Amino acid sequence: MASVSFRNVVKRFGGFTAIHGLDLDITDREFLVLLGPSGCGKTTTMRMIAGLEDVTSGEVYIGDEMVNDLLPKYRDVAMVFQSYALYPHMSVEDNIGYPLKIRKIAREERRRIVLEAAQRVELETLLDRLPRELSGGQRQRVALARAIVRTPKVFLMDEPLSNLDAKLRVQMRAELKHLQHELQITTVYVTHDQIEAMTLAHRVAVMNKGVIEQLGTPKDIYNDPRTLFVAGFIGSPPMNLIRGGVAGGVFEGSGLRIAGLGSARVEEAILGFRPEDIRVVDGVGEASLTGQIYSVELIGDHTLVAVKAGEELVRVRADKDFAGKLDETVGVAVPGEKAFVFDARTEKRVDH
Amino acid sequence: MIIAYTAFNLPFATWMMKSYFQDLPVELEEAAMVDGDTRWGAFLRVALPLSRPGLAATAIFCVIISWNEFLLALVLTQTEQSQTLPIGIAGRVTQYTTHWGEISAAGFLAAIPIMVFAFIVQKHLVRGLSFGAVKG
Repeated sequence: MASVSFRNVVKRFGGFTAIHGLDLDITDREFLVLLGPSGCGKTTTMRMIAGLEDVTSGEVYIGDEMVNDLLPKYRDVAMVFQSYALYPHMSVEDNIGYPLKIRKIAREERRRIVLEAAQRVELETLLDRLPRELSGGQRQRVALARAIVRTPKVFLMDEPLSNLDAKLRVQMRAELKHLQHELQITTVYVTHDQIEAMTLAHRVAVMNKGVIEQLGTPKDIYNDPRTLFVAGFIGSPPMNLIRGGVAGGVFEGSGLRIAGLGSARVEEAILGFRPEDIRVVDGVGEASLTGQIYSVELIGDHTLVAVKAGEELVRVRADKDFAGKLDETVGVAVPGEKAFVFDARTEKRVDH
Repeated sequence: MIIAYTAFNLPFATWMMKSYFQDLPVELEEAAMVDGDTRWGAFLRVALPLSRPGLAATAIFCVIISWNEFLLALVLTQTEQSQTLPIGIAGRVTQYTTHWGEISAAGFLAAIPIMVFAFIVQKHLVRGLSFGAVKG
């Protein structure tokens, strides 16, 4: 158990800079999720903790120890790879027991510990099988068991659920969360799936192009996005982002007028509001904008309505028995206090 | 001759094995290193066992080349005792007559060891040994 810290870490691959001066403190026993689109540097960040990638400049600490030049084997971390990376010529038992074998733990003792780890992930009946005789979900659990078979200082998980089918993913997600709570080991988890990030993390670091855009609890990230990127990346369906200008607390742009935005004054602004914070209204009085219904999608517990207002397509989360027809003209009410204002040039939040 | 053949075959063997090692998923060795192994240990315990088919193929290749080699053997062997089979067989073609019977018999016998060797090695020549290691 230990904390992990990055001090002004830079990573370059040839002329390409993957990580720009990263500063990050992961506290002991924390579940931190690195979230971002592919190529944002999240996996590189994790590989630097594992020691599979050298640091170009800056310092990485595990606990109080600077580990820049430490080989992976001395870092005492365990990693679950996206592809699982099971040893195909070894049985499940030998796979799970491999870290113990390297540490020269006696055979009987090893058997006992392996069995314990296997029971945790319900693999105890499959110990004699080879990886190729297992299903995807079972392989994933072997990879997990291999990580938890010893008690490392840090768990590293690189999109461990991305190769599972949707149902299994939801199930394993819950198990991972429970396991981390039970073992109380600092965990760094890489994913591009915002739902995984929201559900698993104590804190989420949203990364883009090699920098952390925002670091905070899932709630903070969702309710208080600090940059345009975070606002657009988190949330499904994504936040509506509309170009325009703000003056005197009123946003105006492409046939849209929303008041009550505080005192910000931005010429080139982008207004963001979430589909669930706005609603379709009949009367023109309440409506912030009017437009034609572009599509209606019944999801089950709600209906997703897209309204075409000028050039923009506004998505609204409506009731499940929403009865509007395509091309019908409707109004959309956008409460000012639920909207976010971003400066289009700096892409930063400018209201409070 | 041993030295000459080694020099002869080493580049081929290195080349074949290199492409074989490159096909192994690099995550496997990385996983071994994170699990506490050294780079060399990861190679010995993970990469090498998985390259068995490649090792077998390379071995057959090298043995056949060495066994059938004619030119170097002709130049380097002086006495009858040290002659290799291809030279010996070629020696059956004399100035006056060609001993077809002996040549056929020797040719048949010469093929046997290679066949035996191939039979021994072939069980390692399985495809898909690394199936199940990584997905996709």
